[in-house]
Amino acid sequence: MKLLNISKSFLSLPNNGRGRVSDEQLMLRVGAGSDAAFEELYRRYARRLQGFFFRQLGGDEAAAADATHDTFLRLFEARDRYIEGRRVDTWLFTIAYNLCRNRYRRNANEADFLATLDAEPVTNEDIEVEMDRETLHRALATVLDNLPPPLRLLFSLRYEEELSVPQIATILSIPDGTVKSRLHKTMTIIRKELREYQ
Amino acid sequence: MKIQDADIISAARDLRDEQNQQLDVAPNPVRIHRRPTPLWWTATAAALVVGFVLGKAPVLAPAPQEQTAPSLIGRAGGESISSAGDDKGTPAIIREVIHEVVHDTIYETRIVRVPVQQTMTAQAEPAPSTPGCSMLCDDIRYDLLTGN
Repeated sequence: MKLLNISKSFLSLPNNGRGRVSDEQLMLRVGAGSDAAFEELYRRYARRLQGFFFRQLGGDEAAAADATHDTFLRLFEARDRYIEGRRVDTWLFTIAYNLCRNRYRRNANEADFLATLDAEPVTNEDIEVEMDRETLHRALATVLDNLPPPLRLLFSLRYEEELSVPQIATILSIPDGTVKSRLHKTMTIIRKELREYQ
Repeated sequence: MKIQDADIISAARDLRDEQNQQLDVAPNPVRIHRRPTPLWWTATAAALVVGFVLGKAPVLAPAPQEQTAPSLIGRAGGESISSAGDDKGTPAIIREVIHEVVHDTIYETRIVRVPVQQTMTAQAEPAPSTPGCSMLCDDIRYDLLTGN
């Protein structure tokens, strides 16, 4: 009877007020062995993560699918270590970020590049760019593809995956301020590159 | 138009949406394998024991009594049909149907007999005897032999 009460209360966890079970509640259920909860998390994040990997891994769709699988497998393997209250999207993108870093770190000296970038002062120079929307779309796709991988990742996490600065700081294990300054410098680089297309 | 940061972000999100929609999302790679619970182990062990006992039942059970060989109780009738052969080579056939009763079962036995025809070969006719064939009669007059 006690068991029945526990399971009933577990199944009737309060929703997040929008009639939808939160990611965190789903993750708790995954830890308790719920197939359906894991399936729901996969449904919510698989396409988003695959798109993230697609952009980070040079448009390689097969590599993006593999990386998405790896991410969910790692999440599943670590389900028992989920800390209640921890954001699931931050956790997922931390795994995704580490998978990306493992891929591009082989060919690039990431630490040196970021050290140089962080040493540069933040400027407030106004780089004016004028172009129509269609040109912007075409030019931006090329500019983003040519960004150094650490900056491409940062831009993607902030503006494409719409994670907050504190979330990105957690994922990258750096202070919030460093995230902000790198974002600012990334946007400056993008604007400079876009001027080539106007 | 003059490009603002918001325009860049908006354009990046449009590109993201286009790319995400074009992707074929692979199916969920994880199929959860639940750890067997104590109840599962108990049920499995019980099923094995029951299966073992049921499998051994024919061996453990007393041997069945020997059944007596089926014996013929009687004949329930029968019929016989025969067809004569003809000169074209169709053999004569005799068909018999016998109904035999063994315990509570009637067995129908059909017997077809085809008589084996004796093959007769034509024998050469004996050559006619010539007069004065015998050495005994060579010197006997004809009238004496005929009694005339």
